[in-house]
Amino acid sequence: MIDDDALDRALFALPLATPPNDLRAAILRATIYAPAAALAPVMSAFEIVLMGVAAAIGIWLLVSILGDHRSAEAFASRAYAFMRPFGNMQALGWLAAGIAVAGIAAMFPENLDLRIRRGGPQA
Amino acid sequence: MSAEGEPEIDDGVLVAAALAGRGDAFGTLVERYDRAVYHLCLRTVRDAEEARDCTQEAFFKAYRSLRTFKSGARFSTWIFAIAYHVCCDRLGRRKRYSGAEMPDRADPAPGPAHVAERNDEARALYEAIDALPEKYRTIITLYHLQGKQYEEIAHVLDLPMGTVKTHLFRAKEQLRKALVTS
Repeated sequence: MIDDDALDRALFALPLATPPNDLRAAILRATIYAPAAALAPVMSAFEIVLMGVAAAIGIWLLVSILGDHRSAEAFASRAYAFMRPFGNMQALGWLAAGIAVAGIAAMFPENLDLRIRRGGPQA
Repeated sequence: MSAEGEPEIDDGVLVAAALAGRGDAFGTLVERYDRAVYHLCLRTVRDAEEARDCTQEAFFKAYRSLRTFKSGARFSTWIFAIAYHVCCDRLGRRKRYSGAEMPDRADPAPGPAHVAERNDEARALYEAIDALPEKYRTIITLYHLQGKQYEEIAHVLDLPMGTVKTHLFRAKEQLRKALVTS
């Protein structure tokens, strides 16, 4: 029976498999020399769709406000009703506290990693 | 040390340079690890053509997600983990399509130079490794590639350290038995 040390020596002396000659070139072509990498979109398709929807809603809102003076008045009164509580010192205090907590939490992003992990540490 | 006697650039520095837009830095990482990654893929999927595809896919995925590489981690562990997952996906797909367990394939047809490179002892050992079940074969291959760094092996396989040690112990036991009977 071969002992553990002899098996280790034999294992560590094994030569690595020789990759195909063109493998490295193929990897480099698919990565650093790939034209698609340089032209890859900065945003995902989902983000682009989301921005499109937001822009469409914004334009629709603007057109409906500018097109009808009653809509403009209604919008102004609602905006005023929405903003009025922020004139209250207590509301402002809570808002400041919320922003401060968010700011402190953002300073330690690793503590906000709430993804579910499978067992074992990640590399 | 490099051939010119200059100290080898740390992998983390190369990753940072690649992220800063230096393509040649990623090229150096490919040069450093393509052979080891191909070896891991070949030992895991046991098919030269698939191992080639897995290696390419692993580096492609690594390149696309280079920003997620955590500074301080080992690049070898990270790329091996990506390659291992790519191989697992392929094996799963192969099992699904064939409807059966993966066939035990022999080593891909080795060229004359490759055959000469291996002595009888190495060939017997490779045959014994190839005969191991997949989980033991992969763990022995990583042990070969990463040395006795159990923690790194556990990272790659996403297994607890205790399981890695147990699998390794059983894999070596099976190897020893196979080598005695061969």
